[in-house]
Amino acid sequence: MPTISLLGVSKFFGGAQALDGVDLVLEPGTVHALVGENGAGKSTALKVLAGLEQPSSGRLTLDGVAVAFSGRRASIDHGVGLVPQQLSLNPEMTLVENFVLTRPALLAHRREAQRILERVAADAGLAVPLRTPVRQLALAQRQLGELAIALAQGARILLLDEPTSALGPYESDALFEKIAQLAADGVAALLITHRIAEVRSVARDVTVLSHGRVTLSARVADVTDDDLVTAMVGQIPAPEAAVPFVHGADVLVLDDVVLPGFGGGRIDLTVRSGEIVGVLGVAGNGQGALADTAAGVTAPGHGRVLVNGVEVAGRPQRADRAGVAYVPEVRADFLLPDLPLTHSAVLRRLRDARFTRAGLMRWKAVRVFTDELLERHDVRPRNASLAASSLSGGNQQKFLVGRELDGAPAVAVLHGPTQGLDLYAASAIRSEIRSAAAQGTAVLLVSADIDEVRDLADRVVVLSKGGLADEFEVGDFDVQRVGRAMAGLATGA
Amino acid sequence: MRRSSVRVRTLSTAAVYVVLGFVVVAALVVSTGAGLGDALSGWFVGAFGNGYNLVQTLSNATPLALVAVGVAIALRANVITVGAEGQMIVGAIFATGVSLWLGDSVALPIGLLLGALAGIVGGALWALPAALAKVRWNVNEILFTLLANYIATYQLVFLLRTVLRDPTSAGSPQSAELPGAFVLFQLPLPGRLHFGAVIVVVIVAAAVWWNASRSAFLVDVYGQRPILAARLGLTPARAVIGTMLVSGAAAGLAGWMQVAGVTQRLEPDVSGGIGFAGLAVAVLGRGNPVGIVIAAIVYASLGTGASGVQIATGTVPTSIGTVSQGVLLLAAALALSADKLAARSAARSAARSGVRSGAEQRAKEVSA
Repeated sequence: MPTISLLGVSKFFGGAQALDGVDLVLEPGTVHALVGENGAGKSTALKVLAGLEQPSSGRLTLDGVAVAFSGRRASIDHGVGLVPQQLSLNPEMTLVENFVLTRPALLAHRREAQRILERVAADAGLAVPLRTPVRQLALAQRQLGELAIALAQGARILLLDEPTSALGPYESDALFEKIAQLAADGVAALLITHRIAEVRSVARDVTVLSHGRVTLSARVADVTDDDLVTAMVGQIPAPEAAVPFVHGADVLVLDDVVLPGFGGGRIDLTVRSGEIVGVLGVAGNGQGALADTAAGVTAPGHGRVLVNGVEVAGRPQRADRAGVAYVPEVRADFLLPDLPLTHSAVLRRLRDARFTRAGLMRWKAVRVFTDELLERHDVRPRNASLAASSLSGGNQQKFLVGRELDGAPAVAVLHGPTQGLDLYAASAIRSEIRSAAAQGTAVLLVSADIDEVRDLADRVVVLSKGGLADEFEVGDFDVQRVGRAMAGLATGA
Repeated sequence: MRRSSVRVRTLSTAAVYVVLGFVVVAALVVSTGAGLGDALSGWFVGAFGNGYNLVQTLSNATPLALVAVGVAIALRANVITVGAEGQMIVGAIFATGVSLWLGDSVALPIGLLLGALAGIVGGALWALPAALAKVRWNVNEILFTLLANYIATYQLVFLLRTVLRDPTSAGSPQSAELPGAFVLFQLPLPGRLHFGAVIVVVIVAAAVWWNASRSAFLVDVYGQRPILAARLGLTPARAVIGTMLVSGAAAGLAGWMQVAGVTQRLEPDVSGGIGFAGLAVAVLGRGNPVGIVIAAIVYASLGTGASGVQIATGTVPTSIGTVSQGVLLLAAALALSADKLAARSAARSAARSGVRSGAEQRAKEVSA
């Protein structure tokens, strides 16, 4: 008995077709994975299911009956719960207050609202503080909060848009456990994801979208990983054979550094020319502070940060001049949201005589350069006069990584460089990171993705409570050991 | 899907509010029983219909455009200064003080130059405390500059009754007339338009040039992401102090022009709301110097065209001009806050922004 389905749904935005005759059937008590590249139409399909977009043609059915959601409110009333990728909670309010916001009838009955949410959370085993302002909650807790609110709204269909993109492996596992449990209780869940391991761990069915079309729809048990990848992208470029590279001089040196906001350990860390050092850790253990500090953006509580011998701690301009490229965790921080992409593109090239002459900007040359950058890094849509904020998250990421790695910088501090990207784009960015290192860039790679770090890094450090819990060559990579270090346990080494 | 081009988006917000404002004014006109067409043609004749009226409109637009060009630079850095009123006054006080002090001891071009310099220094000095307070203690620049206006206004009255008082005048608080070497000469046109208008044209041309410069780009970057500007060497202190000093200097120069070109003596209402109107003109002109000139002329025409409206309709009083200007100010304020709101929601969706908020976020993660 299907709960909610799309039958031959197409969707056009202006002239562009986002969905092309998509069939998707969600059954109660199952988790259904929806996978595909950036721009494959996953989010559009989800929006149609959630009532946020109307199909251009085709049908939406609920329990076998055709329905048309006039908007989000209508779909909530029909039991469709949504956990969006960009969390939608008001950060200044508690989860209870956020819940009341979605249920104006409860405005005068806070206690009632709190009771409902408490009961739902307890039933589903969601241990989240309901009466703490959301901004004080960790990302994983916010996610569970969104889940609790959706359930309290009476959802029996859950739409989850890349819920793990900002979570570490342990947090992801915990979330999937909850989802599996909810499915066992009869909920129908749709999980949008890039990660095949996630599909395998929790989903029964899988549907693959590519360019708005369904290219594969099957039981997960019946398909191989290769089937899925081929359905998603056709062909992934094989990683270049690792070229043995002799690491050069010490380029980035963190000397006796105490991270701002962390009283704990002193960090001594050196990244040599051509070396990729991976940083692992459970989210919230100082990754952001370490990246900001290494990039010269914020001053450490103590210690020195040297790039080729030049002190750059807390000196963004000096760091820039010393050749420090930085991709922060929140990519929007390093883009100019309301200005055309040309402005964001030229930021690191202002000393280039091609782009400024006699104190004047040469916008025509900048435009040509921006067009090239968009082309080279496959940023879509390829329009240099768009505002940076109008790009999708994945395209912002490609744009930012492309801008920062352009021209083999001395140091690249990359925080989650492939977050939110599909396999193809992530693979392209990993090749770029490798080729930058091959040209001598010292790379500090902070990532929540263990496989990525293992794949790219020459050396790995583990961050715990703002200090280094462990450090080893990638040849000694041992998931058990990493897990213990991440959990703050003694390494025993 | 938010895929509009940047320029279109910002232009359209302003346009919507201006159209709404026009509807309000039109409703007022119609409510007196007058025809809208009569009122419009009356306004046009009153503001532009003959040489004298046109010159009067341009004369009123001159200080507006000058103030707005300065304010627009601060707005680009996301610094909202409403202190042009006070800065004009202090510029005028400095210019008058220097003129009366030096008297007839200097020749004409030197006198004008010194007067203009004094105005610039006065306006910039009056902007400085607000800039320093914002940089050092993050004091809201809107409140600071707004309150500084009151101090300037009453300081002016105090000075006009004491040290700057015209000894020959009986009651009214005003200064003596400026010596000849400090008075801006009038252009050979019907009506009164002083040489300052030419200076403003030159300044507008310079602003057009500056708009295409690297430093204008850096100020834009600062307005959106202070950390990225810091990476390029424009620290928050330099951005805020620099842009506020420039806007203060422009307002101070406008104060000098009003004294040296229009009244030829310092009077209590030397600023006459031009400072506030200048902010509106800067917003309506979308920070573009040419747009500012057009907005300044339109704003001024509402005042000069009002008597034309009264004559043409017979029922609409000249105060319709002041009302229209007020409505236009409100429209500008709405457009400005709509921009701020859009920027803030963009920042919120990005979870955190800039240096300070990034550090705050991290501190919270730690304490949680």
